[in-house]
Amino acid sequence: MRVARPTFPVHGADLPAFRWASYGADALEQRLIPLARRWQRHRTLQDAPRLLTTGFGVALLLVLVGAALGASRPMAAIALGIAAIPAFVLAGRALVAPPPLAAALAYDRRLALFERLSTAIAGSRADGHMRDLQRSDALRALDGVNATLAFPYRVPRSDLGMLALAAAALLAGVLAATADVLPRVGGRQPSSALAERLSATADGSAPALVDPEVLAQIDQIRAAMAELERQRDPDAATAALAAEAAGEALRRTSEARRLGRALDSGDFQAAAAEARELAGQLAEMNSTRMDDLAQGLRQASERAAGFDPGLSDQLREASEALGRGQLADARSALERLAEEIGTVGTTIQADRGLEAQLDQLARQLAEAEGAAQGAMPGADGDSPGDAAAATGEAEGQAGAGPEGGSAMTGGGESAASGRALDGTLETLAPEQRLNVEGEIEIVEVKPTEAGAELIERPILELGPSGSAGFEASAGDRGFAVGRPDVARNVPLDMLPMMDRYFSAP
Amino acid sequence: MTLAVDGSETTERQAQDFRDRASAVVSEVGKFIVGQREIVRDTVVCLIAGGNVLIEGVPGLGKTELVRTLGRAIDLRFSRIQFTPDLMPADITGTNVVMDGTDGQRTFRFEPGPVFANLVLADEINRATPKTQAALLEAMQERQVTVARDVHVLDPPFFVMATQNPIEMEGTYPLPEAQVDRFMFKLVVDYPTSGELSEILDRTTGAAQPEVARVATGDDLLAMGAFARRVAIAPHVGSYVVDLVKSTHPQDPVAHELTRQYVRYGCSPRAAQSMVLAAKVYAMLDGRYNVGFDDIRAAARPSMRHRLLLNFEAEADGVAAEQILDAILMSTRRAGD
Repeated sequence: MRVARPTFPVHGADLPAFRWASYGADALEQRLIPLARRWQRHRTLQDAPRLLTTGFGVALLLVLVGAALGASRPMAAIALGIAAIPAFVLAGRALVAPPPLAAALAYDRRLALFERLSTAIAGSRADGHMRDLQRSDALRALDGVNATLAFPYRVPRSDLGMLALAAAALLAGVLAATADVLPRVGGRQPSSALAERLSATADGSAPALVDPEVLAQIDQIRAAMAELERQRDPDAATAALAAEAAGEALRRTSEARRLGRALDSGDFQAAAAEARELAGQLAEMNSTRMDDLAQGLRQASERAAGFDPGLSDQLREASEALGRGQLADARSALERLAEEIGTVGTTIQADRGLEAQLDQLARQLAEAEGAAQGAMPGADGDSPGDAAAATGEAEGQAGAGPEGGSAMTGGGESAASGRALDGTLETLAPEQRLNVEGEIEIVEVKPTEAGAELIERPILELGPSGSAGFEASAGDRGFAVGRPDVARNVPLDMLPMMDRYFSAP
Repeated sequence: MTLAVDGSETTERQAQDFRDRASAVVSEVGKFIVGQREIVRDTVVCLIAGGNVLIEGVPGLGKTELVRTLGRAIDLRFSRIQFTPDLMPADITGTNVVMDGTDGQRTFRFEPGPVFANLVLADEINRATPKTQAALLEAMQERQVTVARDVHVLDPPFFVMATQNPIEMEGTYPLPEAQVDRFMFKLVVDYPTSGELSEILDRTTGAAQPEVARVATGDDLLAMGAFARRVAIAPHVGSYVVDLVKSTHPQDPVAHELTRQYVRYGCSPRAAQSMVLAAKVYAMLDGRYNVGFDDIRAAARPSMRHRLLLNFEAEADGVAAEQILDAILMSTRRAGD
């Protein structure tokens, strides 16, 4: 059976995969063989998370369809098989040899070799001596190629986060799909600590009447939360701080202001695009502009150094290359910086996505636990949130808690930590309140002398008020769009006009 | 510099000689012209590639001085034509004058005009009427002049370096499209920066005036141009040039969106030729023996900006040719993208 060879799109034409073994490669091409293979593996690794994520997504869809059709287990098995297909495809792809021209173009682009390699490979109509010189030049360029740095075997962290998320979703989907089967098949009993606690009431006399499905659901949610917590990137928070610090420094330069703004606002895609645009504009910059850009990058590198050494290094490399006046290096460094910004951005976005999912799961867990506890004899609270009734608004069943808490209604976990108080909470004096630990503290609230002082402002000449001298002002009422310099104190008489013509940025 | 094609070592020596000589010319011009490094470099590139240059800018930015200095740095026969509204074509090309012979017979004798030089500075070319501007057409493209059915061949090398004021200024006539197309590059001179302005004051208001040495000859330029043509260009780089030019044609399927909206006529094949020739010189100056995409991109704006004929909608919307070219350069894919 003949299998069609995979192809590589190169400038509109599809070049077939290359068979080095059946080809008499010359010296240049011989040198290119290992580099081409490395590039192919690098590309495969770059694409792997996205392909696997897609496979997991399709598998998850099948699991959900199976659950809807009532055929959870067989469909889950099929889904797992489908999820494995991308792994085989990727393994096969890593073994395919790319055509020499495609590899040469990739190295030319990556290392700013000005098409030395691809011209030598593709050939030209130049005369023999010039062609020989060009090939020699290409070989010299090849001597300086560090393939490990150019195409490292590294999976994008951002894509890895998405992959882990998809894997967790598939795992949760499979668990959810089999959850309704397992209790019936295996007679699974709730085993969590909460289930044990809920299995007996306070006096220990009656068994809990808790729905096993609810307990299973609680277990699943907790498992999913633990998995999500495990996937969170501990470096994401510092990376965000680094990006913000770098953005603040870059905003102060004229050349990289837009890059700084994008970084500062957390728009990492725009920031990466700005960095690439800067790389493309280098050839048109004069020395003053380059110095300004180099200085901004250096300051940004110093600011980011305490948070994210990777980003700081890329900024520093770009700054140093600009300082040396080496355009090719600077362009390459800025492109690497754009890539790093993209990676950092997607890491932060992925972490924020995980955080949002954790919040949602926490809410679901609270609801499920509230539902479970609502089923217990003697429990009359609506939800765990009722534990907040310790502020004194709640009433009833004093002493129902195991430690004789004062006014606990229902059974939130926070109720157990309440401290017994003498009397009732309604007797708290106006200057007393509960702090966040649930303990009473005395709070004195009285205005300071400075707070009571009337701050007077000079009125603007434009104000319609005829009163001379001073009058109270409303201070900082919004900004004119695109004109931040007009932020100023505005007389009260101007407020309607300001509201009509100006909007907040 | 010799044109002999010997072994690779000779070729390498020629390449080094090429770079040294071009650097020397740029360096000599730099003694007089402060800043404007790209303009100086592009002008020298045009000279090497054998193309004519149109330099645009408001008065007083050193356009004329640049060309005059080039004429001194290279051993060329230099002539200057100041274009005015009353200049006539014969004032440029020359004319037949009646001569009284010793035998009493009267004969016509051709009196060559200022165009018969190696480097012609057409100063403020858009101050003259289109009829007079067109007198340079044949000379620029075919390196010859026809007067009264007699063809007079111009001595090589022949370059026209024209300066013009922005066409929005009073008393200017826009150049005909056919003539604009014959300029390899159109360079736009901008105001100097603060530092450059200070440097200009230091150099021009002191007692000492820099001397410009002759560092190249016309034959050197011809040899360098011939050598640059030997630089290799790969098929995929050539395809990129074709794609760029096709993107400027509003009727072409690959035309850019802005082209369809704002361009009446796109770039001619001369734009592609100019780009490739200039890119080859850029590559040689950069110490390479092949043309890269960046060389093409560097040559794209000066080669194409004057060859894009915009429509009324572009004028109404205030869209400039540079904006369209920037969009095309951003969106045109290169091999390996």
